Amino acid sequence: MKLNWFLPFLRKKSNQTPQRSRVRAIAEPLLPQLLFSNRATKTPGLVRRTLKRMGPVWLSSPVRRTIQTFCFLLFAWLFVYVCWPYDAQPRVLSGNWVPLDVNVDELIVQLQPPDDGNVTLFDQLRSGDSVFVFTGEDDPFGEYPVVACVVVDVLADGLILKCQEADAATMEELSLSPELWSLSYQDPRAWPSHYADRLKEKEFAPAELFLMIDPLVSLSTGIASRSWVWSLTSAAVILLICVVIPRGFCGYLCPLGTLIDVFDWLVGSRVQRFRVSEDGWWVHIRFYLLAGILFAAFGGVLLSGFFAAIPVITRGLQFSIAPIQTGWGNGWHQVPPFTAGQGISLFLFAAVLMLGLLRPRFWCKYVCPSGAVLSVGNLFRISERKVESSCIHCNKCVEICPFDAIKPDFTTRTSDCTLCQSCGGVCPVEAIKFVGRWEAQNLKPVNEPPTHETSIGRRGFLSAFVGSASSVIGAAGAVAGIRADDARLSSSVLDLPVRPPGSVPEPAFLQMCIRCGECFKACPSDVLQPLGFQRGLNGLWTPYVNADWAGCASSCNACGQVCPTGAIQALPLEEKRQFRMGLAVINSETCLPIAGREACQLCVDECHSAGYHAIEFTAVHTAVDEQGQAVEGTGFLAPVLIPDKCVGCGLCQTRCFGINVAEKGLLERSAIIIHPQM
Amino acid sequence: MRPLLLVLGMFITESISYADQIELSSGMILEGTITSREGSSVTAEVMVGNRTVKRTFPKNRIKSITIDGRRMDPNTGAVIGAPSDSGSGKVDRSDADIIREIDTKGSDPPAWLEKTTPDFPKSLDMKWPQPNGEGWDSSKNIGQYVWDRIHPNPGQWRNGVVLMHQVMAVNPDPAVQERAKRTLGNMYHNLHEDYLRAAYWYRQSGIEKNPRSEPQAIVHLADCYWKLGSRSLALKTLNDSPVKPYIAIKLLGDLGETEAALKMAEQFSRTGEASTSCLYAGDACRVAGRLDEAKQWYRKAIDSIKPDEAEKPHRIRDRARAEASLQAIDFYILKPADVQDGTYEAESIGYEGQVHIEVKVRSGRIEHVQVTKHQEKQFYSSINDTTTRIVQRQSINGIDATSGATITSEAIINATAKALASGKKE
Repeated sequence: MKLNWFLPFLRKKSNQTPQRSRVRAIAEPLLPQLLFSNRATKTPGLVRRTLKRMGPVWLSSPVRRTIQTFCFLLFAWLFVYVCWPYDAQPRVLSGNWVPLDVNVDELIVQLQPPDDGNVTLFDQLRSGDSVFVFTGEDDPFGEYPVVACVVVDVLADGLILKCQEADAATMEELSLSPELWSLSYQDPRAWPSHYADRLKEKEFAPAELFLMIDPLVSLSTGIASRSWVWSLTSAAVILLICVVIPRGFCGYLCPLGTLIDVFDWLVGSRVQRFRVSEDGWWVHIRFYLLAGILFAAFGGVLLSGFFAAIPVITRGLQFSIAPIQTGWGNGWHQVPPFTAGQGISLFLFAAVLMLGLLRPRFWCKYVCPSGAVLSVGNLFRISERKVESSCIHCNKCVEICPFDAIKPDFTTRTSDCTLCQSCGGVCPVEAIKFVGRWEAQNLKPVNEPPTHETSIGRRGFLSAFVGSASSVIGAAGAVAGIRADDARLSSSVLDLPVRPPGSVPEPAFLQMCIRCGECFKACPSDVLQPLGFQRGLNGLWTPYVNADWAGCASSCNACGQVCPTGAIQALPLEEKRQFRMGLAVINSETCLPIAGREACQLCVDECHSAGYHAIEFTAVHTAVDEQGQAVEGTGFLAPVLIPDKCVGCGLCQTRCFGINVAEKGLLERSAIIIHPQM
Repeated sequence: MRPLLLVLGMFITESISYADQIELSSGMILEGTITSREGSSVTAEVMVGNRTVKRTFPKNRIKSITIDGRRMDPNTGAVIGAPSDSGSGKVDRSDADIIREIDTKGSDPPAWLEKTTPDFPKSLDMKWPQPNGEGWDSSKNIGQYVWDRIHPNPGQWRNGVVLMHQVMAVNPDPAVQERAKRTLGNMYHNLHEDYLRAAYWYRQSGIEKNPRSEPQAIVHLADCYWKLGSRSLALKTLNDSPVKPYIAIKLLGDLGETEAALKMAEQFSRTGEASTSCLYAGDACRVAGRLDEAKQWYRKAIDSIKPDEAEKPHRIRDRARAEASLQAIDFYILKPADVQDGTYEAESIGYEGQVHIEVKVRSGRIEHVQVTKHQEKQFYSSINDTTTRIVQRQSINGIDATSGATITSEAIINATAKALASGKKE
C-alpha cells in the first residue's frame, strides 16, 4: 500500500533516483513541458515555481492544501450561501391579465399581458409550461375558480392556454368574471413553500455537512440523550476514512483547522513573544477534555458544543459574519441586538484563534476534543508515516510539521500525525513514506538521535493523573451545577423558552442541541435567537423563538433541515405546518379591545393571512338597549383563540409587539404571547 | 354572486344599447354581440373594461340566446317565449315576477349548506328566550352568540345559517320560529349578500306585517327588492312602513331619492344618531355626484359628535369614516397633473411600523416613488414592486397589493396618496 500524494514527481530530482511516477508518465505527454521540472538540468517547472511562491507547505504537499482550501470554501459556501434564507422568492403571481378570448367549448383561453408593465411571468413562460389561472382574491371559503392550464403558444402580445380538466361550470364562472385574471406557477390555494423549496434547491450537499462529520458532535449527543443520532453514521464514515488516513479530518477537512492555519500565517507567524515549547503539561489537554465531555454526556449533560471543532467555528461565524451579512444584505434593522451570550461565544472563538500565538495550531494539537476522538481512532490505523534508513537527519521534516508529530529521532508520534505529508514533500532524500502500518522495509533505527522520551515517566504519570482527575471532577461539577441550575429555575411550562418547530421535548432537547448556531443562520428574519443565561448555563446558545422579534414563516422548515443532531427534527413542510411549537395566549387584561381601550385586530388579520385561521373575533363591550338587544356599532371586536388551529408560530405576537408596544407604546409587552406546549 | 353583479353592472352601463344575450344553463347571462352560432358553439363579443373580448360556449351549456330582442333555442333557432323563471336580475321583470321568484326559489338551500358541519357550543340554549333577562352570555344566548361570534368572522357565516335551521328544527315556538327566520334574513342580507334568500326569509318571518319587531329588517328587505331589480317594490316597502330607522337614509340615497334621504337625515341629525345619519347623507350626496355637499355632510358628521360621546367606539369609528371619506373625495379627484412639481414625503402604518415614502412629481408626472424608511422584516418584494407600479400607472388607483405583502403595499399606496394630496395645486 502506498499513499504518497505529496507529488514527488513535481520535484527536481537528483539523477541517482530516476524514479518516474505513474502520474507523471501519464501527464507528461498530455500537458506542456513548461509545467514540469527538468530533471536533467534541475530547473524547476512552472507548477513547482508557482507552488514555491505560494509557500513551503503548498510546495511540499499541494494536494493537502488544495483539499483544505476546497473544504474551507465548501464550508463557507454552505454557511454563507446555502443557509442564507433571503434569496427565496415568494410565489410568482402576475395579475391584471386580460382574457381576450375564452372558448369554454374547447377549453382554450387567449390572454393579453397586463399593461401595467408587470410582465415578469409573460417573459418567463414558454410553450408547454404549466400555469394556474384564476380571478378574484378575497375569498373566505376558498371557492373562487382556479384552473390549471398548459401554455400552448406564446404570441407577441399574449398567451394561448389550454385548460386541463376544468369543468364547464368553472370555465363559465371564469369567463363571466368581471375581474381581470391572474396567473401563477403555483396553485394559489396551496400554502406557500418558497423558503423550504429554495433551501432544497440549494442543498446540493447537506448544509450541516461538516457538523455531521465532526465525530464528537454525534457521539456526545448520542450518549447524552441515550438515543440514536442519525449523524452517527456519517461520523462512523469519517472514522473509517481516518483509519486509512489517520486524523485526516484534522489535516484535510476541518474548516476550523484551516482557519487557524490562515490565522497562524497572517498573525501567528509575526508574533513570537508568546511562543511556548513543544513539550509541556498542555500536550494532552484534549484527551482530558474529551474524557470530561464524555463523562458529562453519560451524566446527561451535553458540553461538547462548547469545545467541538465544527460547532465552535459555526457559532463563531454565526455571531460575527452572519449579522454583517444580514445587515449588508437586508438592512441593519434586521439584525437582532447583540447579547452577552453571543459576546461570550465570540470571546471563546477569538481565544481559540489566539492560542495560535502559543504555537501554530495549538488548539488542534493540544486542545480540540474532536481531534482527540480521531487520535483515539488512530489506534486502529492501517497506514502510517514511516522513515527509511536513508534519512540524513536534516531536520527539515521536524521544522515543517504543523502538528509536532515528528519526534527528534524523525519517527512518528502516531496519535498526532494527520498524514498531511508536508514532511514527505520537504525530505531531500525521499526517506519518508506513507505506507501500510505493517509494511516494514529498510526502516531507520528508532531513538537515533535519542528522543529522551520515555513511555511513561514520573512527570508523565503525574500529569496523566492530574488530567484525568480534573476531567472527572470537571464533568461531575458541570453535571451537578447544571442539575442545581435546573432545580433553581422554575420548571413551570410558562417560563420555558419556546423551541423551534419540530424540537424534541425539553429535557431531551438540551441533551441533543449542540449549540452550533446553524439554525439561527438558516432562519428567515431571525425568529430563532440564542438564549443567554435565562435558563442557566445549560440553556446557553440554545435556540428559542423570539416572537417579539419575528414569527415563524409557514413556508419554511429550514431549522430542522440544517440541525445536525436531530434536536430539531427535519420535518417535511407539510408536517412542520401542523407541528405545535407553542400556543398563543391572549392577555385578557391588556389586550386593547378586551380592555376597552381601542379597536385592534392586528393578531386576527395576521393569523388569517398566514393561513392558520386560529384567531377569530368575538364582540366585546357591546351596548345593550332596554329590550336587551345589542346596539349596532357599539363595543369592539376582540381576538379569541381557536386552540386546535394554533401552532404557536408567533406571528400574532410579532405584530402586537411591533405596533402596540414598539411603535405606539400602548403596551408594556405584547398582549398575545406564545407559550411552550408540553 | 359575482356573475350576477356583472350582469347588473352591464345593465347600468349599457342599458341603452340593444345587446344580444346568451343565457347559460346555470342561469347566468352574458351580454354582447353574438358573432357566430355555427356548429356546436356560440361565440359572442363582450366588453370587459374598455376592451372587446370573445367568449365561446358549447350549445349544450346554453339555455337560450336572444338576438334583436328575440329569444331563441340555440340549436334550432326557434323562437321561444320569455323566460318564466330566470334567476338573473333582469330589470324588465315585473314586481309580481320578482315576488314569485323570491317565494319559489328563495327557499332552496344553498349548495354549501349540506356540506357545512355544524360547529357551535353545546351550551347554547335552544329555547332562545326573549328577553333573556340574564345579561350578556354568548355561550348560552343564541342571539348573543350570533352577535359575538358569527357576525365578526366570515369563516363562521355558513355555520350561522346552519344554527338557525337547527333552531327552527328543534323549537316549534312561533315566536322563536319568527325570530330565527328574521335572523336568517339578516344573515343572508348582511353577511352572504344573497338577496333572493334574504328576501324569502324576511317575508317568511312576516316582517312586512309587523315591522316594529325589528325596524332595521324592513329596510333590509327593501334593499333586497332593490338589489333584485325592483326600485318600485323597494320604495313601496319603505313608504308603507310606519317605522323608518336612520339606515333608510342610506338606501334612499342608493335609490336615487337624494332629497328624501337628505330630508330624513335632517330629522335624524337632531337625534342621538346624528353623526351616523350625516355620514349616510354624505354618502347619498357622493353617489349623486354632489361632492361639495357630500363634504359638508361629512364635516357635519364629525361636528355632531358630542364631546361626552367622542371616546365611544362607534363614534370614533364614525369620525374615522367621515375623515377617510373626506380624504377619499380628495384622492378621487386628484391626478398627478393636479399636483405641483416637487418632492413630497408622507408615511402610513405598515407591517412593523411607519413606512415612509418620498414622491417626486415633475410636470404632472409621478417621476419616482421611493420608500425612504421602514422596519418591515418580511415581504421585501413590495417595497420595489409597488413603487414601480405606481410610477408605471401614474396613479394610486388600481394598484393591487403585491402578493403576500398586502400590508406593506397598502401602506405605500396610502402614504403616496397622502404625499400627493399634500402637494395639491391650490
